[in-house]
Formats: sequence, structure tokens, C-alpha cells
Amino acid sequence: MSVDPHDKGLIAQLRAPWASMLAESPRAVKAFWVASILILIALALADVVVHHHAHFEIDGTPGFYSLYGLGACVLMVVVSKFVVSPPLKRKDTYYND
Amino acid sequence: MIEFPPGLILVLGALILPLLGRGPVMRAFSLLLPLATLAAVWMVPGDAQVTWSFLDLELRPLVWNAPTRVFATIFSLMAFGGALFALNQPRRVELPAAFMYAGSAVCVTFAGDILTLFMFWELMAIGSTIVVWSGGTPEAAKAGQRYVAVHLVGGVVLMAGILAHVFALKAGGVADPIALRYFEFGPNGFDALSFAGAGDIAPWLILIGVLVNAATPPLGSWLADAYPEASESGTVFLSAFTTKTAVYVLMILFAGTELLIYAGMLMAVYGIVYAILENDMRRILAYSIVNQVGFMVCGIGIGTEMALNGAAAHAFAHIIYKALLLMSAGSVLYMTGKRKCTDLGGLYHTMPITMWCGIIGALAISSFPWTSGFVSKSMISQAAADGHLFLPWMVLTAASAGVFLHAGIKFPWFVFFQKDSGLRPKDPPWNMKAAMLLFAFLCVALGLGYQPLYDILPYPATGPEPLYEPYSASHIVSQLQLLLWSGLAFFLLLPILKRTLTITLDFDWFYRAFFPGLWRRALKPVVDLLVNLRDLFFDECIKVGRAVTQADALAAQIPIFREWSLGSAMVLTTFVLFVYLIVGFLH
Repeated sequence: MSVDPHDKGLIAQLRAPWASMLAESPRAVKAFWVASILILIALALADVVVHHHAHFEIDGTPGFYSLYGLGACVLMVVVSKFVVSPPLKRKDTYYND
Repeated sequence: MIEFPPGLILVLGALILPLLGRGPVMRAFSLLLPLATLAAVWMVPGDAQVTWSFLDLELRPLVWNAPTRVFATIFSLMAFGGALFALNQPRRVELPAAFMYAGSAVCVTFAGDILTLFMFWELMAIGSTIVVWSGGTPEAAKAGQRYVAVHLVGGVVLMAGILAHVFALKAGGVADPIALRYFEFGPNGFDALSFAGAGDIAPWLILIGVLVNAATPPLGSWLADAYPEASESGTVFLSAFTTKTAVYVLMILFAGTELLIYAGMLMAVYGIVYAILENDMRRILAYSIVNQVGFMVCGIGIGTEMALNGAAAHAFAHIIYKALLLMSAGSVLYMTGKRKCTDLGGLYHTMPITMWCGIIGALAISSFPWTSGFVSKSMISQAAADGHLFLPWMVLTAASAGVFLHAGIKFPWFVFFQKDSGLRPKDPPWNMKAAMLLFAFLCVALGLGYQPLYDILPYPATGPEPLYEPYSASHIVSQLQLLLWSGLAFFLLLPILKRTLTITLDFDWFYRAFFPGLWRRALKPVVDLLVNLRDLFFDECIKVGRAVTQADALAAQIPIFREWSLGSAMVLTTFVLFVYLIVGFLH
């Protein structure tokens, strides 16, 4: 997991040391999760301050976009994985055999 | 002043390109041609009108339609980016074929009559098929065969619709039945789309022919089948032109056709579901093309000026970030030879430029604020909201969240992060890096300075009011919520998103497995049986003959039943047709 010692400067920076850190340190992962969740909550709460020009009733509700984004993704993943995939899933050599 | 279709620079240049060998002259030329095309697009005068006589028809290969400028510009720009990315590729026919393909796409956008449009439409099919075949693998050869078969059938359906409509117009006494304006079915002139209506079949056939190229399910499984089988650089070209030319044609012919709202919603969701289940990194991106084109098709169905502007702007932005994503994936494939997410991971260690360009493309496709997707896609959602189209708005918003899930995070995560695959490839050669950096720059530049794009949209702002104001606090906050919370969904659901060595059957199963299987298992045995019966029957005849004549040696040589070869049957058919033609002329 070490960075090539011959590369320095910008390129080494671009190599995203934070990604190595996350991969190696459970504490960093935990800190990352806590920070992320705080940001998510702050974003959802921002609706109280920011005025949305609602076109339908539902999109004016505070936190609507947060919950809808989360809910829609969970629904799409669950439907893909447990409804669409089981009857249509094949080994990736299916057409070659 | 330019008095010819600018796309011809690429189409004709494609014919010269193979004569220049593989040296620096050819390379310089391959970068110059797209730039010359781009310059020519912008030098065509606003009132340009060129007519060519063909048989007894007046073709108009050079007119400005409302969305011409934005599409012709991005097609030329894309040809340049693709050529830069392909500069080091060794295949001899791929680039000329790609230029013929790109140039024909530019020519479609300048077509003022349906025949010119159709001719270049078909030339695109030929060019793109050669690009698929240039992949060079047995899989590419087979996928190319399926690809060209689907597109030729689509072309026949389109031509049938065109002919039906032309003859109807002629019967109605129209002097110029191929003019594009008679094919603008739109919301009002398209009663035929209500099944109960007495309308004729022509608009249906034309719509189906175009939707094949737009990759609308169930007509669109050719896309995810063929595109990932092309070479690293070939797929970059393929991602740009076919579906977006279909978007252009839909915009010209079917703007405001309600059916397209539903077709677009279907595409947007279908692309996400299939991409979620996919393991091949370039096939993930291929499915997400369908998803993104779904947004555009939906916008065209809504059909207001805001929606059409949004669809055109989104096509422009989409071509850049999708090419960028496929360049990033292509670089990974080029350096590692691997294409499955299950084989990849941890590439951030040694491919920083590829990774960052991939991430920028992923943010742009997700419409992250300050990227090109944010200033384009939101116009379509805005149009749905303005029209109080609740269901389309909800579906498009959910699909926007899903884009971040299936392309925005999934692609970079599985390729550059997740587990460590142990692979330590370097970034690709300089030209591939340069192409990625150029398109990554454009993704961000368009997100920050969107005005030049807004100025060339089909319906630019007329008064002092801005066309659309993407950066309101409300819009930024709502979009960030939508995206980051769907990012949360991704990491929460990571255990069930883990990739497996599987594919998901699509509609191409019917022509890849079902019909071949039906032939092998059900029809061929019957045919074999009939052949055996025939052989048995004639064998028996010979035996009876032998018994009767008592001349065994002689009878065995009597040609009682001789098969005709296909060749002689063809000669006979050709001869009959030839005689028929002569008689027809004399008559």
C-alpha cells in the first residue's frame, strides 16, 4: 500500500493519500463516517433556512430531497437485486457456451 | 463562406486518411480534420441554403435547423477529443471509420430533407459497425454482426415509414414531399400515436426506426451488447454519435409527442437497474448512456422550449462527460487488459490522472453542482415541474439520484478503490492523458461558465431575462441532498452491490439465444427428418429401379435426383430479374 517513492509533488498528492489512509486505518474510516453523516444531516437541515420554490406540495417539505434520494436508491437497488436479477441472472460465459 | 455540409470534411477526410500511413503526417491530419470541421460548422452563414439535384429530387444538405448548431458543434468537438485519445492506437481502419461515422452525424444535423438525413443516418451505421469490428476480438466480430443487423433492420423500418409518408404527401399534391417540415409530427400532427386514431402507420414506423438508434428498450439492447466489445478508443467514439443523433432527430420530428415522456422515463430507470447489476466497467457506462439519453427523450416528450433546450444542452454535456468516463475506463483497460470490476480495484495507487479524470466525469454525469451536468439536466426537471408533470418529475428526480449510485460512485469505487487488486499500472500514454484532461476541463468549465452553451441552444434567450439560472441556493442545496444521501445509500447497501461474475439477460437474448435455440432444438430436427425422409424415398426409388431394370451398375449412375447448388439458382434468379428489367425498360 505504499506510494511509489520516485514520484513527488503534484502527482504524489493526486494519488490520494486519504484513500490509503481509509484503507489502512479503521479509525480513519470511523471518522470519515461520522463526518459524512454530520454533513448529510446539516444538508437536510439547510432546508429550514433555504427557501424552496415548490412546484408540487411534496418538494417543499424540509428534507424531502435527502429522504427521497436515499429512498429511491434503496428501492432501485432492492428491486434490481431481488426482483429483476433472480430470473435474468446468468453466468458471464452464458453466451459463449 | 462555407457552401457545403461541414460534415463532409470528416467523411471525405476519412477516405484520405488510410493513404497517409501510420506516421506523424497521418496523426497531424487526424487532429486537423475535426478542427477544420468545427471551424466550418461555425463559418456556415446563417441563411445558408444549398440544393443538390439527385434523380428528380431536390436534396438540401445544408440548412440550419433549431438544434443544428449545438449538435454539430459537439459532434465536431467530440471527433477531436476521440482522435486525440486514439492517436496511439495501431488499428488501421478504426479511425477512418470513426471519422466517417462522426462526419455523417454532423451531416445529419445539417440535413434539410428526409432523404439526406436518411442517407447519412445509414452511413453512420456502416461507419460505427466498422468501429465495433475494429475491436479485433471474436466477440467484437460477433457483436458487430448483431449490431449491424439491428441497425439495418431499424433503417428499413425508418425507410418504410419515410416512403409511406412521402407517397401519402405526393398523393395529397405536395410538390416537395421530402422536405423535413412535412415530417415534423410533433404534438399536434401526430394523432396517429393514439392507437384508436385513424392516423396512418408512417409516423409509427419512423418513430420506431429512430427509437432503435436512441436505444429505447426493448429496441436498444444492441448498445450494451456492442459498445463494450469495441477497442478502448472505439468505444469512446461509439458513445457519442448514434444515440445523440437519434435525440437530434426526435427533437426535430417528434418534439412534444407525449409517448416520449414515458419512453424516456423507462430508459432512465432501465439504465440504472441494469448498470447496478453489471460487472463489466464499460458495460456499466453503456447502460448509463441509455439512462442519460432517457432524460433527453423525456425532455423532448415534454416539448416546451425549456425542455428542448434542456435536452439539447444535456446532449452536449453528456457527450463530453460520457466520453471522459469511457476514456478513463479505456485507459484502465489499455494498461491492465482487464474490464471486470471483480478483477479491478485499488488503481488509485498508480493511475492518479485516470482516476481524477474519471471522478470528474462521474461527478458531471451525476449533475454535481459546478459541473456541466448540473447546468444542463436541471432544465429538463425544471420543465417537468413547470408543466406540473408530477410523475415524470418524480421519476426523473429518482433517476438523478440513481445516476450517482450506478455511475457516479459505482464506477470510480469499483475500479479505483474497493479492494486492492494488486495491479499497479501506470497512467496511459500522453495523448490519452491529454484527451482526458481536455474533457475533464470542459466538464468543469461548462459547469462554471455555461453561458456560451446556453447561447447556442435551440431557443436562446430573446430578452434581457436569462434563459435559465441554475445556481440558486435552493437548487444547489436540493441537488447536494439528493446526491449525497444517495451516496449514503450506496455505502449502506455495499454488501448487496458487490459484483459477481454474472450478466443480466436483456432483449438481445431473443436473437442471441432464443431464436437460435428454437432453430437448433425444434425446427432443425424437423427439417433433418424431412431430409432423411426424402433421401429414404429416393433411395427406395433407386432400389425399385434397380430391381426393375436388373442393371445394377448402370442404374446406380442414373441421375434421378440431382441437387442444384445455390450458385446456379442465383444465376437463374439474376437472369430472370435482368430480363424483367429489360422488358420493363422496353415497355
